[in-house]
Amino acid sequence: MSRLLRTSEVTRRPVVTLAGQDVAQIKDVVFSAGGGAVIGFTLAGRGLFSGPLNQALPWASVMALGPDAVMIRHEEVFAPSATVLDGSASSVGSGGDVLGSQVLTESGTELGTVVDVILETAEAGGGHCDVVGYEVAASEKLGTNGTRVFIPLPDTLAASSEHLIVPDSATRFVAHDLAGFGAAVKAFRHELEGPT
Amino acid sequence: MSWWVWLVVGVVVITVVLVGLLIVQMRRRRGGAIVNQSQSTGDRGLGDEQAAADL
Amino acid sequence: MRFSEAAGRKVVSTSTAGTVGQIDGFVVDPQTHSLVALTVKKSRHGDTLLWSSVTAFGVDAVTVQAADAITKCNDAVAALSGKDRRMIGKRVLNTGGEDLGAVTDADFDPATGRLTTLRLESGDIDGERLVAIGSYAAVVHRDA
Repeated sequence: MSRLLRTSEVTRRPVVTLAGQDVAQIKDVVFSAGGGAVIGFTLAGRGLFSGPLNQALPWASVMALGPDAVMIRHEEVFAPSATVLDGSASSVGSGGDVLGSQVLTESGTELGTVVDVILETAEAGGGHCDVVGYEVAASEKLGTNGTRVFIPLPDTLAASSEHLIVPDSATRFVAHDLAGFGAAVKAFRHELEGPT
Repeated sequence: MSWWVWLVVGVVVITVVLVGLLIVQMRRRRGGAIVNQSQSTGDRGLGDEQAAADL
Repeated sequence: MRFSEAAGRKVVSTSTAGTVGQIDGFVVDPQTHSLVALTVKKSRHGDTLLWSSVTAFGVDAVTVQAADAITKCNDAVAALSGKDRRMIGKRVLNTGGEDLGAVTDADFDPATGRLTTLRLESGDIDGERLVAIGSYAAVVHRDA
């Protein structure tokens, strides 16, 4: 059983050790361009005056991505940020952040701008965590100007902080609520895999 | 020095502190979703299943 | 016995029959799920009463052999006491990262000092499920 959640729900969530200490909070979700697998999280300190940390939390060290906290075994599982971020992301200030970038189809139609990223993760902690789609503030091309819709992603995706490319057929699997989105992702990927 | 000098100094100090706080908050910034171009498929995290099993 | 009932109970010396202190709080070792010590106020000897020094935890009083059963805090107890380790009022997280609410009270076995139940507004949790108590939260095992 898996569930879908927005990255905005995950960011700012406290990172808590099994000893019950809140050692950090989630800043960004970092995912792989090939496959959409979540690689890890960048971290910010807890408390009003603390800024971003130069340490990151690799996904492999996450015990549970819970609704109220991200559980880890102990603080020693943190790794230097470079292990989850590639060079391009750390050299530019907001480099690699897909929030706010334009969604383009392969044929060059702009569908809207990304306002959130949808993750799929196993119900019980551990297991995989993948980016499966985007929540997009739709342009008029989708016929629903200004509303927010969910666009599924294929298994592989091309993304930068400027543009995200999705196959043309993705537009046929747009969902208007998160509840119906899980099925849309499945149907979409099934179609991509199957002979057309 | 007259009283208004102290008033001006006070206002300046408060402004500097507020701006500092704002900068810290900006640095924390609303979380994002960063795409990592160099990581390829196949290397999917498995989660700390060992730790979960230890419990 | 509940923490809330037991707090404030007087500590009586069986050798002099005099009151030597009053129970203030509880020091829990999450590893063993049991009480290791009680914190005591109104004592001239110190503020810590090790569970091993308690003769009996009665309904009306806690008895000890002598007034000097109450000692100064030792390092082992200090590591488990303090504001960060206090259980009552603390947020409870399970190992799945779900917030279960705050601990309102807890039950222990007066004979053995075992922590039997954590009481939360959302329901009771078996004391055996406690993993650790930290500054942010008390961590408990997820439901089996």
